[in-house]
Amino acid sequence: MTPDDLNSPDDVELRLRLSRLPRHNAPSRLMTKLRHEFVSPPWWQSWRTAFSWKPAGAFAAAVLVAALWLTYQKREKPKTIDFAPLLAAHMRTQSQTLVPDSDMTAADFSYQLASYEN
Amino acid sequence: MEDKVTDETIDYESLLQRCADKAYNFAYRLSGNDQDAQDLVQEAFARAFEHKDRYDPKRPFGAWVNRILYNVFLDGVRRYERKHSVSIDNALPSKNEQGTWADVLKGKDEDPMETVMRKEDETMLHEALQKLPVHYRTALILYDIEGLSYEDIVSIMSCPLGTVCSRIHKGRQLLKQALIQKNREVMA
Repeated sequence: MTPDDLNSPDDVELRLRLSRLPRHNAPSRLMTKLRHEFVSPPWWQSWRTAFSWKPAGAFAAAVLVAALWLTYQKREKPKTIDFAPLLAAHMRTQSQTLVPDSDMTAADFSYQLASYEN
Repeated sequence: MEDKVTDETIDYESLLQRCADKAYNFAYRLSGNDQDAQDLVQEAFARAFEHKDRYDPKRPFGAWVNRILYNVFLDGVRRYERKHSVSIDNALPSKNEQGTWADVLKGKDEDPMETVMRKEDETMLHEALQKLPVHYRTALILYDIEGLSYEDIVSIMSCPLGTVCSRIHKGRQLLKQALIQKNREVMA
C-alpha cells in the first residue's frame, strides 16, 4: 500500500473529522512539574552539576592538612625562653660596644653619650 | 527543522515549550485520559533528557520524544497484557472525555445546539478511537490528528512506509465500523 491509496473521498472526510478534534495542551500543573524537574532543578542538584567537586575537594583537603599542621606546630613551640643564646648575644654586644659598661647603666647616660660625640 | 538539539547546551525550557503540548495531545489521544497522558509525557521527557546522548540531531526533537512516548505506552500496554492476559490488539477500557473550565468558559458565543452536536461528535470519535488496536490507533493519531509526515511516522513507529500506510488504511476502516456501532448503540 502507498500514500496515494489513502485519498478516497471517504478517507478524506474521516481525516477532516479527526483533524477537527480539539487539541489538548499540556496542563499547567504538568508544565510546572516538568519545569521543576528539568529546567530548574533543586539547589543541591544544580550545585552538583555546576560545581567541579574534584578540584574543590582537593583544595579543601589541602587547607585542612595545612591547618592541622600549623596547629600541631604551634603546640610544639616551647613556652619558655632559652636564655643561653640571649646571654651569648648580650656578652658579644657588651664586648664589642664602645661605651663602657659602667656608663651604659649610669643615670646620666645621655649626657655622657653627648660628651663622647664632642 | 525548528526543534533540534544541536550541542551540549540544551535549552530545556524552549524544548519543553515547543514539544510538550504536541506530546501531551498525542499521549491524550493514545491513552484516552488526562492522568495517563500526563504520566506518559513526564516519563517520555525524563527518558529523553536522561539519554540525550542517543538523540540524532538530524531528526526533529519532537518526533524523538513522541517515539519514546509511544514506546513507553507500548511497554505499559504489554505489562497490562501480561498482568491481565489481554491481547495487545484489544482496545483499552474506554474513559470519558474530560473537559476543563477553559472549554466551558469560552469567549465567543456558539449556537447551543451546534455546540452539543459538535461535543457529541468529538466524544463519539474519541471513544471510537479508543476502541481501535494500539498500532492502528497510533497511525491514525499521528497522521490524521497530529498531521505528521510519513517520514516522522515511520521513525516514531519504527516500521516501513508500506506498513504505516496499511495501518492508516485499516485503522480508518476499523474506525468507521466503530462509529457505525456507536451510532447503533445511541439509536437503540
